[in-house]
Parts: sequence; C-alpha cells; structure tokens
Amino acid sequence: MREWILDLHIHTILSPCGGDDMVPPLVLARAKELGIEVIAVTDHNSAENVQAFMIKGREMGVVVLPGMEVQTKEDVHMVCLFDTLEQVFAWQEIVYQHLPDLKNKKGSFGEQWVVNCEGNKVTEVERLLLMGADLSIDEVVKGVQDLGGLCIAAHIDRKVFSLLGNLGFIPVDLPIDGVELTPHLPRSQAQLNQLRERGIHHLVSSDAHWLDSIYPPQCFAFIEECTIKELKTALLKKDGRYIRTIR
Amino acid sequence: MKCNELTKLLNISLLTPDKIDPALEVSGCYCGDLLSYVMAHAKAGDVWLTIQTHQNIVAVAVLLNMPCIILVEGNMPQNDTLFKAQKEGVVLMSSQDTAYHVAGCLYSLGLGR
Repeated sequence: MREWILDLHIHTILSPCGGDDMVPPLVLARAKELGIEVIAVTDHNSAENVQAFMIKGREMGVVVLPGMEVQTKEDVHMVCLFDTLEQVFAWQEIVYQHLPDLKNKKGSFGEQWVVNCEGNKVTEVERLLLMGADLSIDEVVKGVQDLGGLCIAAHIDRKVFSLLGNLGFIPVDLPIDGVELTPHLPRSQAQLNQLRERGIHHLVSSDAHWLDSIYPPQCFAFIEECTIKELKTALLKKDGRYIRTIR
Repeated sequence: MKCNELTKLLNISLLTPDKIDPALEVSGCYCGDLLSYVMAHAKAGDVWLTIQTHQNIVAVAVLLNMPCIILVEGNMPQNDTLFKAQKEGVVLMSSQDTAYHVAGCLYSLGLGR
C-alpha cells in the first residue's frame, strides 16, 4: 500500500461552464505536471467525455476514474464515482431519464462538447446539462451505491449547490460515502466537528472548470490500488486505509 | 391566525392528519428554498413556503418553531418527510399555487402585518 495523489472532481469541455482547454491531452498533462496520479472526470449530469479521458489517461499514465457530478432535485451537487464505463453509462441513463428535456441555450450557459481522446470536438450535446434532475438526494445516493459506485457530497463548504447550503445539515440517515471540501475556502471548525461526530471523512478536490484551476496536490489516499472498494474503505478509515488532505 | 384557517381561506390541502393541532397559531410568513439561509433568517411562528420536499425541512421548522410548512407549486412531501412531520407535530400543507401567489394571499389576509 502507498499514498496515491488524487483529484476526484474535474470538469471537461462537456460541462457548459467548463473551459475550452478541458480536453484529455491538456488536462492529463497538467495533472501529470502537478504530480496528480488519479483524476475523476465529473461533468454535470453527464459522462459522455469519460471514455476519451480513460483512453488518453492509460496512454499518459494517469488513472482516470469514470464519474459524474449530478445535480439532485434539491439542487445539491453530488460527485458519483465508479470503476467502469458500463457503470457510469448505466447511471447516466438513469440521470438522463430524470433530466427535464430542455435545449441548451449556448449564449447563456455555454457549449457542451463531446471530444475524442486527442481533444478534437466530435459532437455537441443538445440537451441542457446544467440543471437539477428529478431525483432526490436519497435516490441519487442509493442509485449510485446500488450500481457499485461511491457518492460524495460536493463542495459542502459552499453556500449554494451544496448539501449544507441547500439542506442545512447532513440528513441523519443519508448514507453518503464522504464529503468534499474546497481547496481555497477557509475551513469551518463547526463543519469539521459536525463531520467528526458523524464519522464522515472528507476529500479535497479542485472542482476545476479550467486548466489553471486544477490545484497542486491536496488529497492523498493510502490504498492498495485505486478502486472504488479501496477508496470506500479509506473513507471509512478501515483496514489501514485512510484519506489525508493538506488541511 | 390559526393554521386550520389557512386551508379554509386559501386553496390549500392539509397533508398531515388532524391529530396534529391544526389550530396552532401562525404570526408571519417566510419564503425560501436554501435551508441554511432559512435557518438563519426565518422566525418563530412563521408559515414557511418552500419547494423543498426533503425531510430536513421538518427539522428546520422544529428548530425555529415554525408551526406550518406549505409546499408550493404542487410539490408533495417524500414519504419520510410526511412521517417526520407527523412525528414532530409540524403541520404540512400543499398548494398548487406559487410561493408568490400564496404569500400574496397571506399578506392580503393581514398575516404578519
């Protein structure tokens, strides 16, 4: 076992708010340059760029976990991570079924590009991705975990689109696997105490939408290999596994 | 004004059973869907208008002593939300109208003025 350097929340050019530079060769080169060994590709309500990143990641020696940042009915953002493409596409199918069928207005929201592993634009996703799916937070956590995935409450230290901002506190019986804190925000002792009391561990991920917002290493997992099972164990701080963050 | 008067005066349906005292007194109204913000700004005695249906709304109402929550725009509570409301004695109602419309009606009835 050893410490792996992770950034488990990165957007691509598919997210309407994602930069044009968020394509496989550039993102992976940036991660490598910073010494990040594992990234998760987590676009809003979609996983259509995951495969391109996984293929390029294998070539460039960066582990890419398939994922998605889903927006629940309560407008809470949840990072969903999986081991395989099949799992993330099965999850995408469910999310698409529950996403209101609205066309993207590029001028207001931004473009939603699917790219190939070299970063060339292939197609544009026409439906608007940046909105809440008609799935409650409980349904999202259960759905992801039933498929064998990991469900993390995204940026809980932000006022909006977050579990604490939108729902006030962590619901007592919500079996989330962990929470994510933002690299640049001040840590709230009250929030950290709340997490400790509940036995919930945190990750720090960049939630990068542009190349230069991918942070230098913030988060480390002491695990055997980078799988959902190992990460789950590390988030439970069991069997010698753990997650360590810079702060 | 009492909670049970609301169902008579407005086009609102009562979701929690009658055994929760529908004669609880309400003295004002608050609209909001970001629960952390509502926790910091709503007042005891307020009727709370929201689109959120998660069970955490009941805990927020209990915390602030808000006797009644009206789910607007036809939103219905999740099962565990209704169960919690019954258990905690919070009156839960639903209206087809928007928060704007319901709040306007409550204001014109003199609530909180």
